[in-house]
Amino acid sequence: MFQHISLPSTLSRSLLRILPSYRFLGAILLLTLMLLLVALTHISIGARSIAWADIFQAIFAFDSQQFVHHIVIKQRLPRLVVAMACGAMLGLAGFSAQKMFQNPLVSSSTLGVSSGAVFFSLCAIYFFNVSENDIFIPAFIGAAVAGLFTLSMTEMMNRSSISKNLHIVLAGSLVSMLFSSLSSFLMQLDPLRFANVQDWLLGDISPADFTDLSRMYPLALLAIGILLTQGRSLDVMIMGEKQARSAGVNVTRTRHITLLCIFLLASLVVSIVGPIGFIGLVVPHISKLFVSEVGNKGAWLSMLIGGLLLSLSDLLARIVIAPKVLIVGGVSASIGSIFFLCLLYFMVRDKRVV
Amino acid sequence: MNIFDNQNMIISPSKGISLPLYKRTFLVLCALVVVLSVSFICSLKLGSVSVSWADVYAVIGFDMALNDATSTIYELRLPRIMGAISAGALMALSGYLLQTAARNALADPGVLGLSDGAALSVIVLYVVSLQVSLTTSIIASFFGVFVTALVVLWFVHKNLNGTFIVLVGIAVGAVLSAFSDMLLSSVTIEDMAFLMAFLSGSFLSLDLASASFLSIWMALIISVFLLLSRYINPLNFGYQHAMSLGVDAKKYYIFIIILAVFAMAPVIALVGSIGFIGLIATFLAKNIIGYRGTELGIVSMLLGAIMTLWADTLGRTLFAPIMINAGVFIALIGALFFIIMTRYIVRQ
Amino acid sequence: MKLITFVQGALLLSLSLQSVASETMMITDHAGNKVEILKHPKRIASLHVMSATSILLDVDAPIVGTSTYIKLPENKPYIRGGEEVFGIKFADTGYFNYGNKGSDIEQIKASKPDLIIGTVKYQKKIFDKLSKIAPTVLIQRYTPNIFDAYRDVATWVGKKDIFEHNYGLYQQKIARFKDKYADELLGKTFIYAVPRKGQAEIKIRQNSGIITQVLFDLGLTRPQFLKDTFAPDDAGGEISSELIELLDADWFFSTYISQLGLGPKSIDVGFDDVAPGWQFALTAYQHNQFIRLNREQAYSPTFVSADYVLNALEQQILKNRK
Repeated sequence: MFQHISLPSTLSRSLLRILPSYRFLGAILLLTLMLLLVALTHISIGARSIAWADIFQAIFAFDSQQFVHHIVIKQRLPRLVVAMACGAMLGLAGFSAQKMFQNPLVSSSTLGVSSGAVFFSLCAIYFFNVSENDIFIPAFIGAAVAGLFTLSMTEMMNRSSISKNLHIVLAGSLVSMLFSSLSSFLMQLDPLRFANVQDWLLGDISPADFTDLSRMYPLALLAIGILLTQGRSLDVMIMGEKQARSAGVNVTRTRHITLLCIFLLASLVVSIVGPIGFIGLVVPHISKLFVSEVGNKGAWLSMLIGGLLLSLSDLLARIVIAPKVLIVGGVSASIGSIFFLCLLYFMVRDKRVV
Repeated sequence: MNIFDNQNMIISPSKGISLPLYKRTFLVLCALVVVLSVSFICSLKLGSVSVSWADVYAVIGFDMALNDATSTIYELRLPRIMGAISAGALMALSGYLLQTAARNALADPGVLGLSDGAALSVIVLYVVSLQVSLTTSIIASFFGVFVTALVVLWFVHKNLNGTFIVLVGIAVGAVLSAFSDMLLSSVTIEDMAFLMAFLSGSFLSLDLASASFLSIWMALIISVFLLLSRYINPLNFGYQHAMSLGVDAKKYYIFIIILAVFAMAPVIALVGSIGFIGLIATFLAKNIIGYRGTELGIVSMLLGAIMTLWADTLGRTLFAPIMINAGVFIALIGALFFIIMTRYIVRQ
Repeated sequence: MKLITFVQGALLLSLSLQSVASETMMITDHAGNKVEILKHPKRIASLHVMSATSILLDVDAPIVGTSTYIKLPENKPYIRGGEEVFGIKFADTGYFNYGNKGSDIEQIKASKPDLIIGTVKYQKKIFDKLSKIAPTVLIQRYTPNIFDAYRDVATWVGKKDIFEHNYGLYQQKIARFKDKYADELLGKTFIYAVPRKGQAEIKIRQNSGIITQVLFDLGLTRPQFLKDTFAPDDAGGEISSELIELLDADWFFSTYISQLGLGPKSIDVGFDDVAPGWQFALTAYQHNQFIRLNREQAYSPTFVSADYVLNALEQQILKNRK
């Protein structure tokens, strides 16, 4: 029931020695502290360093004549908030996905969902002249189409099988490849039209601000709320489908609702910042270091960790080759895909999967 | 009708070359050669500018009357056509060899991340030094493919489960293309606009010299393949069987991989990253002739050549004067094929 | 007698031979290639609108085909800036269409050019292929003084005298302008920058076509920040929008793209998006020295665009004087 990869055993042993409830509280405390730290650093670092004193002043005693305050409130703070919000959404989506499929390798990017969202958004921009701000609906449709595609492919592959866990990830990668090549094709037809989206395609937080968030938060909160309510059913489903049904859980409905919410969250993120990958993959593993995946503690923790992780990646992206700036999506893809590789390796080595 | 029935054999295996040609395979080969020739001729005719059949015949008949139409065909289309055929054949063969080594029908230079590795090395080369000659880019490509192959092998050498190998390859490919994307987006060199195009595989800048090189290279690789076919064939039945037939399997697995690397590296250096040809071609070929001997390699080469040729021809004709890179078409078909193929994965 | 006619005849003959032989000339293009081209080409193929086609239209050179930008669903090719600057639509010209960035080589060949003009950035790789079709020359897009590139292109197509004439008129215009508006221009700085919506950055175009050329010719200089950050010949680059205060110059120029249906206010919207609070950071804005130009009209390397920029500046100065 409690599947975890064999991480360095000393770490997990020492963590497991602490009682579960204290572990959870301790985790929350630690992570919140780290979040604050990262948040402050995030706001203070950039093309110009801003002292923490100035940051506090800008938040609590805003002076419109001082341009630094403008930078803090109107440029850096929104970026930070968007990073944390999107990270939280991705984290929760990944957590739910891994819980539902009981597969440590799934996430919205490894299921091909983000690529589908991107492709449909590009189609909307190209064929229907939709502005880049209004791509949520095509993104959602794309996410759903891609996700369902992956699932049906997995069904086909699973018919005579072993390594079921690997199949779904394989299907997801193939679907992802399909939609990215479709996107490349579309972009070749009219390079000028897509000149503005080059960075969005990799996953870019910089242009996002409060207006994007304000358009999205109702749906986001809805999806998060629904996912949290499904936690109980998902817990029961961990035991197996038959057992869950006999315990009174409507398995099909739970599956559908969870999937829908995952698609929703993924497409929300894609429509704001583009396809940022692997956050949803990494977050649940870190969360499992602290709490078991049963219950909603893991969900909350995942959101916290997700927000932290994405802000950290954004921070890294801006520092690593300063004064030049890397794009967040590139950073998360690079680090995340290496993590994915190691995960794969350890899983198969320890015969957890095959 | 047992396909392995001796009565169906047209050419028996000889001491030197193991190429038992069963009737069905023979027919398929002939048909494909015909299709390739017809495609070749059609590609000469098709293009942004219309030329007449008379001009096409003139070029084929070496009647260098050199009017505008014939020189268009000769200088602008022929290199691309030759290049596409050679590239397609080489990538297809590379795919077949990798599939034999990986014992998995999904293996392919694109899937295993090898073409991403080669592309990354070439991009790094161009970013680091502005004057890049043909030979240096080919060397960089070799380097990239080798290193990537080593990395993938290292990850999978203990566990040769087919799906796992493919997944590792995809993951490695993802890492490498993430690095390529990051590199390209953070480096803005004014006259390196073609690097973006390079990533998607284009025959546009191929001149007669490079195309000829690729054709000669293709002939070379084919010869090596044929000469060693009697050792490669048994490997299709598995490690144990091969050993029992007296073939030192391990050694030849490695050799197959090396041959695959040699087949693909110049293609990526010259044309850019075009994966999936091996996958599609071999899959189709297997379904047509029904078994996996070395003849499959030849059949998939023909199919790969035909596919790539049409990808290039359509890319430069369909939306003219907008040019679509061949690589993009192929990636599209490849991904679609992948999906269709999944019902067959498990039967391997 | 006979000797004189013989000498006359010989002279005539040698003269005519010279004129036949002098139909071509040897030039070095911006990529360093030594190319032999006709002195007066009659069928010029241009593979880049902003670097070449605009100039060719300005000097009235015989164009046989040009690269175009094609909007696919409608399949309508057009020349960027063609309508705004010269009032021409591609469909009316009868030129061959070489596609985006001149990538359709077969069309180039079919148009039978006697001179091909491409750019270093896009045509370097296929230079040899193009040279087989016709003598090919490559232009470097951002040469420090845009009129040098203009002069080169004009020379290569045999219209150097037209250029020199227009250039002379242009220089007189500049001199008069400098005198008349010395108060506003003497010793002042300028900057040309556009907001990059997709990236929360501001793109500084330090050496970018006619706009900066005209302003430099007028005697305006770069603000200190640009002097510290970029070499004098750099085309410019992107800087984080947080640094907008440092971009403050006496005169601030920015452009909007009318092709996409945008108007002057889109610049303000763009800056709001990218650097909120910018109005407080830029004294140029506060002193009404913030000028919004139509990019298609202002950007082409032609004397028409130079006039457009001068007029826009003049209007703003006169408005401020009231």
